Amino acid sequence: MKSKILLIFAFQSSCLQEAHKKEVLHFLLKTPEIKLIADYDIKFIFFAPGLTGWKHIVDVVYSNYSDYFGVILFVDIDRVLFLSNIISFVFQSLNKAIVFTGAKQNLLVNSVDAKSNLINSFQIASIPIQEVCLVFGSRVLRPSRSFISRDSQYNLFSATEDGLIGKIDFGFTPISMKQSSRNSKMIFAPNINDRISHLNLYPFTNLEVLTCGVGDGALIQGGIIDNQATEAIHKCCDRVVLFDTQGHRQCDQCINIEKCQLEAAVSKLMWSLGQTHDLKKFRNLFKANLTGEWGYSL
Amino acid sequence: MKFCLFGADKISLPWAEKIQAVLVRKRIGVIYKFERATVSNKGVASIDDGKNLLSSVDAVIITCNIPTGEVNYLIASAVSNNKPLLCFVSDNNGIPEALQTFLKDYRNFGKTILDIHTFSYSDFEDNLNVFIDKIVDIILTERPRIKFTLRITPAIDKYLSEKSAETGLSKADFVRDLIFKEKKD
Repeated sequence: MKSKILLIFAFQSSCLQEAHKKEVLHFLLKTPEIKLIADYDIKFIFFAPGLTGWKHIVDVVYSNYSDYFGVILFVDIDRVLFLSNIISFVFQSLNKAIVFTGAKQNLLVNSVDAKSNLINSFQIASIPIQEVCLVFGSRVLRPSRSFISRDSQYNLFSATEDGLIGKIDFGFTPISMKQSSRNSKMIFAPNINDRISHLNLYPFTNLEVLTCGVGDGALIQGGIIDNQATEAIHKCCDRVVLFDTQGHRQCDQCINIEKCQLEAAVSKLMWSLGQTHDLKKFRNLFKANLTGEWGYSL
Repeated sequence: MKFCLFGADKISLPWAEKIQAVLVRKRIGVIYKFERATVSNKGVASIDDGKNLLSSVDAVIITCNIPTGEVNYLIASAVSNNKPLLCFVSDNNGIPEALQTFLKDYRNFGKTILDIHTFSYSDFEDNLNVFIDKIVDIILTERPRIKFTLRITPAIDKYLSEKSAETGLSKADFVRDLIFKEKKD
């Protein structure tokens, strides 16, 4: 294994992608101090919208994973939570770090946080952290327990107590790190099913919407699940996740979840649906606490 | 004025402690971390807003036996934050080649002071004093470029006008001088 870091810049494809690439290379040329922390190779991914794009990113990470000491993905902050959650489920039992970072402003040269986030990410990718993490501001977070925060200009994300991997001050100060052997074998489970719906049940929502085709799985958020709603859910589909709902009844089709992050729940639903067609296996897989996403056993 | 001081390992710890004593003597604030010591409360508080720790200090001093990953990270952070940096590396091991190459490249475009010395008892305090003086000079002679509005009373305005006539300085320069004096003391 080369003791090198792979730095991936992943942006949605656009007509400006060549200009974007040029800007990134210029930015890196003006930041030679990164090479003091680690040597690195750069890759650009300009991905298509939707599942094809996500798979593209997963494929690039997988095909390079074994050749590098760590991987850094610099992505748009709007997508970083979903993408890092999906990667957490696709790549399990990691023996190195896959770090997600980004910048508040798209134009890197003018960005106040791009340089600092990137330098911190290199520091994290160079030490034996063995999981997917988000590095923004002074925090190193577990994606499945993270959420957007407005704490400060720099800490763009926050996490529940069990989602804080560590803090960055003079270097990295660990708080709760996963420990596994550097020689452990990574589990790669890349199938994702994007045919899902996310519905908010407001008090006056017409429950007929549930019968209009919600795809292979649905996440229903909020609302009161009474007899009428349960009946509608039965007609809807057989893989339904109830997220922070009230008054729900025991039903085989539904899995109740609460106190978790929406991005983690949606990503887990897509990933679990991609792994199996069997209802029982799906339920077991979804309920399993793979990356600490539930914070507790369901 | 506030410095960040990092004693990276046990061997260089006596040097870090010596530097801390010099900084305290010069009444310079210091956020420090020594090997096997915890970050001072002040240090922890300053990073809660997510800013890079080094963005809140005026300069960085590191002592180490051999530059480790943590030392390289601090050097990189100091450079990217445009903070003057002094790094003492034990003369038993010398400055690693990668760091020397970086220094050579950096001097071609770097704006800030970046001094990396191998240390020995004889010239240690001289290097430190020269560095501190350089930083104080930089801070004091930097061209003012931040503009802000200050509302004052007619009595203060009268006082400033008199002082301006007396010293031959503009009112703004007079106020700036007062602040420099306060900071230097």
